[in-house]
Amino acid sequence: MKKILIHFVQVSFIFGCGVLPGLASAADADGATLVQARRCYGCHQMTQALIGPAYTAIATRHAANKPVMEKVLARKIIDGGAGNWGVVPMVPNEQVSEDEARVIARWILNLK
Amino acid sequence: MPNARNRLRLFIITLLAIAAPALSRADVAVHGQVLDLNGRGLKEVMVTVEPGPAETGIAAVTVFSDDQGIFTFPGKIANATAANLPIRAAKLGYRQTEVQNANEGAAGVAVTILMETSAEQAGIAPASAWLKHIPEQEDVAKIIMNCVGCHQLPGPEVRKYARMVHDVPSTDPAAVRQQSWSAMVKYMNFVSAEEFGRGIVGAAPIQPDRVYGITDEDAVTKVLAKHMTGDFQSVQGYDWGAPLAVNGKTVIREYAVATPNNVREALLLGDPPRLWAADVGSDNIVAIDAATGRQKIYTVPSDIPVGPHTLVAGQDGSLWVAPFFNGVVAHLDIAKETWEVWPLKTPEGGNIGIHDLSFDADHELITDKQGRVWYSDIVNNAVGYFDPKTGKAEIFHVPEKPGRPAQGAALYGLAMASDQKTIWFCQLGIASFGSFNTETLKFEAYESLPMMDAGPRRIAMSDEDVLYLALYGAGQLLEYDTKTRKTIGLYDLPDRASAPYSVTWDNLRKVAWIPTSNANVIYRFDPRDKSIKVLPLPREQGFLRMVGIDPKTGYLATSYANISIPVHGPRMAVLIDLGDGVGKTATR
Ligand code: HEC
Repeated sequence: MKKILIHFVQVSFIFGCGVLPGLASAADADGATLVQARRCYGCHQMTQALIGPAYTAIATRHAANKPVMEKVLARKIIDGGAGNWGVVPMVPNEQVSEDEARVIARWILNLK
Repeated sequence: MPNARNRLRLFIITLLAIAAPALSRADVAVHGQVLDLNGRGLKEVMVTVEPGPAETGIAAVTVFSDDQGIFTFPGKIANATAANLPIRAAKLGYRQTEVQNANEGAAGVAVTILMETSAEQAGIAPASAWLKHIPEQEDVAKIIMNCVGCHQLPGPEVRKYARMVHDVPSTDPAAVRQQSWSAMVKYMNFVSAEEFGRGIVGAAPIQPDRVYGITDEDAVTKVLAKHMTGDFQSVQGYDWGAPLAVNGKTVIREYAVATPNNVREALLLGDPPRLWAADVGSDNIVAIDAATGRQKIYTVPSDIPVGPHTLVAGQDGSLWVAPFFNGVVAHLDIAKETWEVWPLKTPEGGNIGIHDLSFDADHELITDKQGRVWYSDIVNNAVGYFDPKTGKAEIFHVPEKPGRPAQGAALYGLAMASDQKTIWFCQLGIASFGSFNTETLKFEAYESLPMMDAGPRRIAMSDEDVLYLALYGAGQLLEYDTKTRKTIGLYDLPDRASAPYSVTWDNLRKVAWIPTSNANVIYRFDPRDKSIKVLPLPREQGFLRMVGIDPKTGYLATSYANISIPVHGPRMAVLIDLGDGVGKTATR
């Protein structure tokens, strides 16, 4: 059955409700909620590298430089980019607002 | 029974008032001419008026210039003046340089559009133009079959990623591409599994590191890494590849649908005519008044998710709906606004993955002689029936096809022959098609296409029982005589990276229409002389699936079906008056 279901996925179409779980503004949510709502989990997990680095690893890497990196990471979350962890670019995440990106960046950096 | 001619007149009058006049001071008639910089009239230029992002209603109206470059919009454009007319022109090989509007008082606004030649086609040519350089159709097919099932490739989002990959500083760009496209394929696997699994009752949670959609992940990665080179900023040398199926009377109306929506297919039904669009992301059907763009939502009454996917008109002008999830078939009497709903299971209580319902040469639902509705079952690689009177359902598994994998057949399209006895089906995953006798309950014909990634999807039956198969991966059309069981012809479409998703028989014109998912066009195939024409649509990322032909007006109804969350492309319903005098609305 799994195989069939898998193929059902492949061959045809895709379902998406198009709505992110409603979050009015960054102030409503903490970073942990936002990375769920903005669907970062396809590439990132808390402690394990996936397509992208683990959140805790990102925090460790930038621990010495928190104030500056909050701005840098916020920008990179929206624009995407490569070179810090490997050659694979992160996709642009344009569904994330500037405010939300700041909240997420701060939340990641504070994991360390 | 209302008088048909009066109904028609009312339809024409309402169509003339194409948008609700919010400020009547600014409803203007618009006509004009497109000229090149040598002063010659330019024909077949797509001229669009689009007031701006619309929540609902008619978002844009497009006409084409005639042989002298002259174009005329039907009715009046709301909220516009000579100084403020949101008009634009597009033609492959040209760039718009200047628009001059002159107020002619009661006659409206006369527009002169100047265009200069331009080799650059980015923004005008479709996504498929960026695949034109690939000589191996097998590689094109691999990309189309695995990626274009959910979005255009390379659409704007994909081009952006390809450019980022191109810009990574490295002495080994091929290795960068290999790793980057591998990551992307994995991510897309995850996204599709997540989006897809949402409505399935009892589905297991998605694991980000598992392979879901794309089964031959490595092969797809390899093809993308090989061909997705360059910075994807410029594309040149694309042409439609065949004469255009438009004239100075062609009108395309695009309807905004209230967001969020995941509009899948659309067809025209009712009086006054409305576009009925299936929203697969909810349990809703959106009915859009063709004249005003006003919308009404009809929700399928069901305890379990439905995800309306396939729409078929009933012989009596009602609407049949086949689902994306959970085997729920529904029927709406659109005049009485009453529903009948059948959540189907096999006699053993198993799930049925209904995809298409049996229809005839008019693309209207047709049953066998016992009144049973037949369907394709994509999950079980089966065909089946249900009896609307009793709700009884049964399925029949297709036997294994020698020489083809036993798994992943994906039984997809289905159509019924005029004998009301034989149904024809195709299998997307193993490039095969065949027939089933609904009286003897036996499988009969069974054919395969040579290319494994040929990709037959939605099929159609002509009034002479000729079967048409649009081959998504191969970029071809197969014409097959079901009476003699012989192939009449296999035709290359003008753009073999166009991803032809479906084919619909046009019983008024006796031609086949083939909407494409990757080329923003609908092809028109004429079986009499095997000629192909091209109907271009005015929107980037116009991810097309089905097209319906309205038997009364001859209009084509279709939709831009970008339903995947990360894709920003349009989600709209579209109505096309070909202006060819076929159907009852020869006058606009
Ligand atoms: C398609 C996969 C993918 C998605 C989706 C994704 N990322 Fe990434 N992310 C990556 C990759 C790959 C990297 C490593 C980039 C590099 O090497 O510079 C990365 C890196 C990062 C970094 C570290 C950047 C640095 O320079 O150290 C942060 C922070 C981050 N992502 C946050 C997010 C957030 C927040 C989201 C959701 C809004 C998200 N990512 C979605 C793939 C992804």
